[in-house]
Amino acid sequence: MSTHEVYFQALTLLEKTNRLSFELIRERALPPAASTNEIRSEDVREVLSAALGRIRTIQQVLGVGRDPVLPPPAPQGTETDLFMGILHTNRQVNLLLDRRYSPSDVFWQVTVAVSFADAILAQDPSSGPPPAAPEFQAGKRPADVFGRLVACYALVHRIGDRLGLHMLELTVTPVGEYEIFPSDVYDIASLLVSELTYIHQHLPEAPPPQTVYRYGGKFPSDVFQRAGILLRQLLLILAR
Amino acid sequence: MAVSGDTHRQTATALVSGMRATPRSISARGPALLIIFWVLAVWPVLPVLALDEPFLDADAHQLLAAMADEVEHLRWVMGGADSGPCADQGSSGVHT
Repeated sequence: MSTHEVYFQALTLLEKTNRLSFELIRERALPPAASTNEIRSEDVREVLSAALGRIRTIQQVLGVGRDPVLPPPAPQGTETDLFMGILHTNRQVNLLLDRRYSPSDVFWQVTVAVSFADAILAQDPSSGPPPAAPEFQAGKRPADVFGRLVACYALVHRIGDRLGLHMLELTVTPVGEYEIFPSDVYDIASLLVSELTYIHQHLPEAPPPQTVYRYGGKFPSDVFQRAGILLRQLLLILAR
Repeated sequence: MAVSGDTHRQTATALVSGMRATPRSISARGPALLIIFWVLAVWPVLPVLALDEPFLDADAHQLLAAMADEVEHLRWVMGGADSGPCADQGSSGVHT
């Protein structure tokens, strides 16, 4: 576990809080400037502070605010504690949204991961063309995408190990198929993006990733197929 | 039967090292067993412990606690924290 994983999960929290803010009071907070250097704990604090400020602004505008008092200082926790806390709060914020995180959002996030994997592959000029998309399989559920992304994470972890980078040890307890929501899949996808960003930063020869645009109207089967491309890319990176 | 302090220590060493041994054999092998115990049981754990370092910015923990509290308050205001569309729907099963 390192600070960049906590930072990216905190960014996801701010993003969801911003969406909630737009739905309820038609306002958004500007995200903090992207950190260009090594991510520090101050960066995490800044993002969490922005998310908290946004929630309090929502409450004030709706007239349901309370005195903004910080709770007593928390006992010293680990980065894992913070990561899991943010993950839990992310899920709670998603429950408040009218337009909850959808497969289209996950599709976008997985496409960002694909663009980073593409850039990592491209650092080797001898690498061939990017892998083709696997066959489209209709009827996939968010849980299927979740499982495929967890498999991708295991490969990313092995790539990180090979480069000597410390990465989060992720374990997933099996839960029911209908207990996995697109928001959960989005959180795993954003974790993948954070790790691939981290790997990309440590490969100075890798070109910058391509800009990715959001698409609408995507289904879990579309995301499953896109995650299949990512899986093939990661296998290629590992095979080098 | 009275047991001497030395025997207590020897027995404790045997328990720690997870081996059944008589006090006589421990007295001969005690230091070696302790070294084996250290190498096999403690040393592999140290890097794992070192990976999950305390997050030194205590403000971040405090901010997150406040955030969780405010989100809970908003969920309660918007439809109830224990039922309805804003109710908690379990966990994705992710652990670290």
